[in-house]
Amino acid sequence: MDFLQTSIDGLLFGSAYALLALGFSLIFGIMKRINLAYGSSLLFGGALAVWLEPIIGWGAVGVFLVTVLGAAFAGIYVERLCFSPHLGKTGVMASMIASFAIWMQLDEISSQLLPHRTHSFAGIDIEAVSFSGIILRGDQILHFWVAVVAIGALYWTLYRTRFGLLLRASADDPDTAYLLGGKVARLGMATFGLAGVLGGIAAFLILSSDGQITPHFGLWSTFKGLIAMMLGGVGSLPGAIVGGLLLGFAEAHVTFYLGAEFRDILTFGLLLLILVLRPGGLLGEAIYRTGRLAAERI
Amino acid sequence: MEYYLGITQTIGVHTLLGLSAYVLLLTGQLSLAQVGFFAIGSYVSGILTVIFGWHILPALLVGALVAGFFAFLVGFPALRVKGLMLVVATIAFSEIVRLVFFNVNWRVEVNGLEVGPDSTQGFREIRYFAANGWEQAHVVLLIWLIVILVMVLLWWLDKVRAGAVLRAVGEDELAAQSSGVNLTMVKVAAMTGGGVIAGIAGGLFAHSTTYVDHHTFSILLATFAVSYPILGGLKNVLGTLMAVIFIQGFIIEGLRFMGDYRNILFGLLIIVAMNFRPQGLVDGNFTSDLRKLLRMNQKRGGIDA
Repeated sequence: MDFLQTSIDGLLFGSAYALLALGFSLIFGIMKRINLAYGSSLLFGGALAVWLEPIIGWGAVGVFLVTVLGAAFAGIYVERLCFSPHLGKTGVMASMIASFAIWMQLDEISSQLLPHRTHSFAGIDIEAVSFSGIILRGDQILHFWVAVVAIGALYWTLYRTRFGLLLRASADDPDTAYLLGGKVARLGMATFGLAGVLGGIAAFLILSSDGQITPHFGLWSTFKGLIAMMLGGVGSLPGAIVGGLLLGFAEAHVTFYLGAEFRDILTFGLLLLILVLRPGGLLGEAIYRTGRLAAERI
Repeated sequence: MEYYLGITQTIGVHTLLGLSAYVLLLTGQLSLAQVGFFAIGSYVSGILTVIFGWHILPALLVGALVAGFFAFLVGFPALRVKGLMLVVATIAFSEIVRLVFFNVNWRVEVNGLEVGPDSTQGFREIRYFAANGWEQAHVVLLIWLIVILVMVLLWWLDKVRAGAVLRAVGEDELAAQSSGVNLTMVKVAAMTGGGVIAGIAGGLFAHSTTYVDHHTFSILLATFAVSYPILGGLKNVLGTLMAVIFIQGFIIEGLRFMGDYRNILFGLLIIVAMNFRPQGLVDGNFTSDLRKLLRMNQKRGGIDA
């Protein structure tokens, strides 16, 4: 019974990790870059929402909208400053260092927006559901469904619209996509905006379930998103979802059986093990071995 | 005066940390594991001087060797991953080291005082320098002697075959391999060398600040470590030194009057630097200009004589 309860809790929480990982995966799949400022741009969205809440005053809806839009805006800002100037093969390191600098900057702006360090974040009160001895927290069920809808919308965008086709074509080969008439110039901005929206939704879910926001949220969500993406598979969307759920599952069980102090050691240990045994993650090895990544040694 | 000595210490330690990442970057490996080796170096040498009462120099040496040994061990599995995967794998390593030290509790009574690493409280009272009557100037001297030694060693390495091999692997692994370079050996050697340098830096840091805890070894420090050589340029070791002076001396200390807004400006300055000099502050042109300048002076000297 404990096992089942822990598993369900872990998987429900993992749905938010899956959203974080999808944001990372989009950026990685299309730009072949790691965005160290990803978590900080989500933190910026959350901090902006807390700061604007008394001014707008729409309650949780306003907080949600500002978080998502703020994260998307910060994502585009990061892309303009760190990634669009360094598109070539030699730009891998330069763009990473630039995103590191923006990480510091966004964290500082967010700290300025959150003068008391820990601020309460609009939560959603839904009654817990229990059946045959298993208790499901209401807000976590909501998380799960929001995550499912967001993932569905992402898949629809990627596989049913012309914009999605262009994104996928450019992920395969930007030069050919350009030669065939694709407008690839602003695609990076769109990708970062989309990743920011996904991450902003995840940030809202996590922050509202915690009921508070601190400046530590930035680095925390960068780590969780990165680990979940890497576990599942690099640049693979199903991989990101599997990785997120797996991370939630593993964390819940380690916390339950071994205690919270082992949680992070074991998640990082698991990450290291998977990277060494299957570089590219559980579902991403083919991409890593055969695609452009292998050719460009990224 | 003490303030400036303090900055000089910080710049020295960070230069060592940057150089340890520089060695790896020459082979094209971007590693955030340096802060893990730094942590190992600082804990091991700290334990040796505090609990076992060793002299500082052998303690630093052993700390560096232990860090190098762990780097050697990490080097083999890390060979399987490249580029950005390596970044993530090394982040995982650094975090594991940090979390392990977060839980290390080894309190021993020495001369009536309880000392040693105290898990979440960190490792306090690493007072070797104060207890043995070292002045701050002596500490600065020791740090900079080691920095200069390491820099000269790396400079020399660039002039001999080993440096060419390292750079060849960094430029094109496949080409290097087909010219008979043993990739495994080169990469593991670079990782070990970087680990040793980071270990020394960690030992010096722990003893000069007398206090380390898990916040010290955050991934932020690892990112700083790789930023220095990338910002400074991989042409030679001077780039790393210049980048450390630029970041630690100018941006962090020089702009302290800006208070909390410093970090906001920090980001923009790095972005500007990266956009104007994507190959680093000290790139090929800078070095050749410097050489021309020196040669011109020599010529003038010749005419006067």
